[in-house]
Amino acid sequence: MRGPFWLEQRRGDGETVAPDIDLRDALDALDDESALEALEALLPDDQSLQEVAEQTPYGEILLQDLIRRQLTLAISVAAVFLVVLFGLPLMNLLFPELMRVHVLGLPLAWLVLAALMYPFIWALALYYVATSKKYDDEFTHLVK
Amino acid sequence: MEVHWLSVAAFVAIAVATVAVGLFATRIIRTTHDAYIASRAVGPVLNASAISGEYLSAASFLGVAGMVMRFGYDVLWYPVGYAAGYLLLLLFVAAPLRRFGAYTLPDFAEGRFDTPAMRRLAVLFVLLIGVFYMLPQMKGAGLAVQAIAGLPYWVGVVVVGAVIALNVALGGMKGITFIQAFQFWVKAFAISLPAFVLLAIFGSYSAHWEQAISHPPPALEVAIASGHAPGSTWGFPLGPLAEQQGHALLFTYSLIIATVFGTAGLPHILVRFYTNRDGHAARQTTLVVLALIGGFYLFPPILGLLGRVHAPDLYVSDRTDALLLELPGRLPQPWLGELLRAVTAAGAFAAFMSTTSGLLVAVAGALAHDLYAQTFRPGADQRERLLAFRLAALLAGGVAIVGGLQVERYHINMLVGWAFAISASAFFPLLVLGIWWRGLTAIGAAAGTVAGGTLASAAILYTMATTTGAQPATLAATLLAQPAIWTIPVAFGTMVVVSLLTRERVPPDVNLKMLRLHAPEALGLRTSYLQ
Repeated sequence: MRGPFWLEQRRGDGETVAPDIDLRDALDALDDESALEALEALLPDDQSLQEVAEQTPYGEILLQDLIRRQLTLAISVAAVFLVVLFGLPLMNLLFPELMRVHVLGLPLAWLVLAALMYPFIWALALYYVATSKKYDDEFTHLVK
Repeated sequence: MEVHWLSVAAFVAIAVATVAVGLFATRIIRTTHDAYIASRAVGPVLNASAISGEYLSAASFLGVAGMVMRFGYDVLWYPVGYAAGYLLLLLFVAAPLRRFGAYTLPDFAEGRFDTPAMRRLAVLFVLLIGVFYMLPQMKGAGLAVQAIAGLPYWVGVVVVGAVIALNVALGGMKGITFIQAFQFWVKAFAISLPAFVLLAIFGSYSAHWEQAISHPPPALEVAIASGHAPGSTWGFPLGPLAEQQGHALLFTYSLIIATVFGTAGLPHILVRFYTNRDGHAARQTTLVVLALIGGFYLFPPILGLLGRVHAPDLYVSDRTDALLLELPGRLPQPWLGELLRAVTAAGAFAAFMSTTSGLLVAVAGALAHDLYAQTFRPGADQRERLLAFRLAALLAGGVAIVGGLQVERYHINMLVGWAFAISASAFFPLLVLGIWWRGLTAIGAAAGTVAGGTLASAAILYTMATTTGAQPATLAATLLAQPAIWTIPVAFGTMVVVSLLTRERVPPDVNLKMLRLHAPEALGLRTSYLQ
């Protein structure tokens, strides 16, 4: 599979280099311990990996389970965020006095939207990245 | 108007430095065995700097501060939405898109359904969003040149547009990861330093808040009395921006929805995720992006507040979009003002240069790669494709310039908000359902993309054609001016319903697609089983 040529252009250094899927994985195998292990794991005796790859019922169930866990995680984090995000205009509307209380010299409404939202978003993202990595690792472990 | 030579020099210096960083990066890459390995060796921090550099456009750099000054609290939703968009990108798109191995949105659209027609459809909207997004960049360029060199608006649009288009067309964007990362740090420096200096000299954040709302200085008081500047409603929710809309709360929600869901569908940003090492690295990169742009967005509201107190004459001359270039001149020390103006001018130039270049590469790439080389002339050789790319870059640059000349009357952030609305309506549903729902069929995906994308575009074009900056007040007009709140559900609904009706057309290898999208790389599956 050959990538679009304009990406070659973006990455090019005079001689164009085609981003090539096979090449990438071959390189992975050379410089990446886990990829090496994965290649070794592809030996025929590794039952569960074969099952995932060949779409046997057991592999199918494992993958379905991973996708379901990842999606549930993503939706949960998104729900927490969207409740806060969409709740804020309502708070402003329903409790204007509360949102005008000065905290650190600024009205609460301003402080939340101009500053506190950013660390809040980041904390949610941090939680998601750690948890989704855990799910991926558990899946990999299970399959291997 | 006077000419600020130091700022003009800063402008030129950034242009030169950009080319220099590009050349330097190209040399580093050349010493390694393979340019591709070099770009893959890029860690999450450098990669995230590059994404943030490409993302923070004239809208974020000039527009947010200027619009906060003009309209106050309600504008704070824009930067929050711009940043929060990356959370949704992280949750639903980043890792699977990387694992799928799609470079661009059109690649994903074709690869997910094995249908070339989906590629062509996606290209159409890539072009539309790209052009829409370039307009506010051009407006920023026109304004900036106006503010620092005293030249008419059109000069900045034409000169800056031509310089960027030529640079991209002639291959000056090599080593683009390093250039974009460099420009992020220019912007971060150029927005934070003036804020710190101005606060140190003029007084604290909260003291300015008091002045802006309760004790306006005489010049601001005059501007308020003459009706040019908003009164104390400025500092509170559902103030001057939303008020004009008649349906303030509805407008607010639709604005939030467009910015939050639009980011995940921006073609020039998604391309950057391919340079990540694997799916997990794509997540880590997004996490760093959130920290970088979240930090950046702390400053525009401060500068908007300072502008209201110290530069109220911009209300009268209706030039609040140029606030960042004007505000340093209000310092009591003229030399310091000139110096800081040069810093913000450099940041502004970095802002429209990085975003416009990224958009031009995306648009020209879509024309040359997806349309020319894949559809019209499949046999085109490398030289012909490169020529097509260059011509496409010049063509797109020309369109941006001509369009940029037409949009002087719109606020930069309104224009960007519209690009986000189209992206949110056309691409966000396609990505989310394509990645997570097996039942999506090509016909369903196409129908939803067309429905959401064209309805949003039509609503926005109608609004642009029929309003002259004066704001609509009826419910229908509010929904047309800020359409995301209904066009996104229409797109999702169409995709689901049409897919269910064409259930027998679900691709037979959909499980394999799901495996590619979601299986961790550590399995190494792709090597042996998937192509």
